[in-house]
Amino acid sequence: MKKEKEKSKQLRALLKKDLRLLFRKRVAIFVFGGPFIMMFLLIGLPSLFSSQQTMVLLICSDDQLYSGVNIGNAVVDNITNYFSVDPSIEVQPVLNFSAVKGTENFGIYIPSNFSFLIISETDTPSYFEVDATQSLFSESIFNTIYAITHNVIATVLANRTLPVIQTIEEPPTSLPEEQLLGPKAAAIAMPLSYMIFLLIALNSGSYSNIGFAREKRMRTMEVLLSYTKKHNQLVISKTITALVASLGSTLSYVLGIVAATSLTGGGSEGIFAIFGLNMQLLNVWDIIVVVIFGVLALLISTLITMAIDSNITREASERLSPLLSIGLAMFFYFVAMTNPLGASTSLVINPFYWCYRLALLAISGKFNFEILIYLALIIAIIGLLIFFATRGIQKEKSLYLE
Amino acid sequence: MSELMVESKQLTKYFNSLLAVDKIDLKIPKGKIYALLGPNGAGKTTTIRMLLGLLKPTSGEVIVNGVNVSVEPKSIRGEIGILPQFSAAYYDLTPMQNINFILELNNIPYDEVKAALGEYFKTLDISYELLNKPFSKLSGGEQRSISFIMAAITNKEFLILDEPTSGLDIARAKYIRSIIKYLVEQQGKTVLLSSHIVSDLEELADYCGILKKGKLIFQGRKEEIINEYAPDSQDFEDAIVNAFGAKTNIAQTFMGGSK
Repeated sequence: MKKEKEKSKQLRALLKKDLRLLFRKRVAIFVFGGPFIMMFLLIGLPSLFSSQQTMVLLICSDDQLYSGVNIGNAVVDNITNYFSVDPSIEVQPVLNFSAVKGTENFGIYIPSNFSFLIISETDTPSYFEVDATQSLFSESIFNTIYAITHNVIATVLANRTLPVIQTIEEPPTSLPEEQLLGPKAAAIAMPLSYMIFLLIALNSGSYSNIGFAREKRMRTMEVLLSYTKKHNQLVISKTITALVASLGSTLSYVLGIVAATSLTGGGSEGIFAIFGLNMQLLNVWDIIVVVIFGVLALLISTLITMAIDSNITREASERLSPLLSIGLAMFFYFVAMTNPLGASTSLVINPFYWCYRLALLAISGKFNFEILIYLALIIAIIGLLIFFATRGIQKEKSLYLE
Repeated sequence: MSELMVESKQLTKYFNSLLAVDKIDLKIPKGKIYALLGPNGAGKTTTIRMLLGLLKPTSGEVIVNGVNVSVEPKSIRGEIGILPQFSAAYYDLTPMQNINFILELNNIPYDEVKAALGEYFKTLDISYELLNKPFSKLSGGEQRSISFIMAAITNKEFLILDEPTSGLDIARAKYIRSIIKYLVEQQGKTVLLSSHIVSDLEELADYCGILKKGKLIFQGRKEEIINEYAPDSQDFEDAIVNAFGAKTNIAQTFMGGSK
């Protein structure tokens, strides 16, 4: 009991020391001040001189009503209503199919027999999507449109009346399994994937100020290893400090963006628009879930960096160690954005994807077996990384940088 | 020899194919100062790290204060006070913050050692102003003095001091030697001293162990090393130089045969 108390006191002492080193003047300015200035300059100044870019969605319905019901028009109305709250997308009605096809933007065209085919159930109805820009974000938009359309159709078939124009809450059950996560998950998927990537990429530099390579360079490892009873406390202390640094610099980024968007009168709404967060669909709890899993991704990124840093004895470890973490984050991001809601097989080995998928499942309220698997994987990888990092600092050559 | 603080049996360490320590049988009595000597690269640091449990011996065993470090390296953690060869302090923290860190890491309440710290500061001429400057702004001697205090204040029964007076001015070196003597003679501590400074060794060492190319070529009382290696001159420095296998006649040439 006394020994356990002593060990927890050691962790406190290590943490106090690491935080002190983090909050020393030069490092604090770099870690906490730099991001604010950078984001303010990158986003604030250009926004003073340019208007916000909006995407245009051209839409046309030639649907001839059938049995007194015009499903095509209902779909158009729903889509228009859905995107009316999104400042980044402007829905423009056009007159015919060639106008839709001629667009350099996105386009939706609903043909004249759309209602007939649905109500008479003689054939599968079809409508046309035009993705002229080949934008990376187009798939999530079309997923949304697809969900809206099917919801309208399902409502019409159930009640034989036009649906009331409203925000779509639930996707139809006929959608493929990977798209069953719902509109909230659809709304958060893309922003979440690039937020995770950005968090990891932007914070990779801050680790070098507090990592083990620094201890090795300062030749303090010998004393640390001699006096600390549980060596994994050295890893835990550094991890907590790195998380504090990362969260602090992330807050600094966000404040920089808020300050920058305030210049243009955007305020807090501006920041949601920058991150592509549709606050009409999402609530505070969803954002909290996103933050929790973002922090979890950061924690894993820190531990990956630390495990490599402590196992490589050369000075290059300071530069090499963040690279693998960023590499994994890039791999996750570029695969995730091709199919944001899909359960990608190529990403099952990527711990950042586990955090991302968990966040989507939690937001969509799907507390199923998949959640348990990803939770178990995350706990296992955290334990493994702490073990490898601890083993690394206990290696014979870990005392000094060679 | 009295009861032993350190006893190694056939302690051996290889780094890949390089033999760093070769079957040494170290015997460090409790309550004494044992000087571990040897030319650069003789294996002193490797031996010290094996005592601390930081390096695993390739073969043999080492028992420190009753703990078999080769089998239970975890048990020795926090039991030995250490002054490494290089100042193991954080350059961005102040000396006081560094000392507090070591105290907290060793679970020593500040109040318990406040008086002793005051004595150390006074003896080694460390002012209040100095204690609150960043460690990096201190002179080499001041840094070494603070590092020494950081090791001594841990109040461990066994202290390993690697070059404790290196870079110190004559006065501070003398004071540190006095403190080491006080710790051993008055408080019964055991000190393993690694130093190249003859005055330290002459004044402090009760026992000497001489390492050469990883082998412990001599172990015994200071007088014994003089009788063994410099029977004619009875000079401790000559004895060490002879034991290292250096050519004393070159020194004699340059010193006009004064040695």
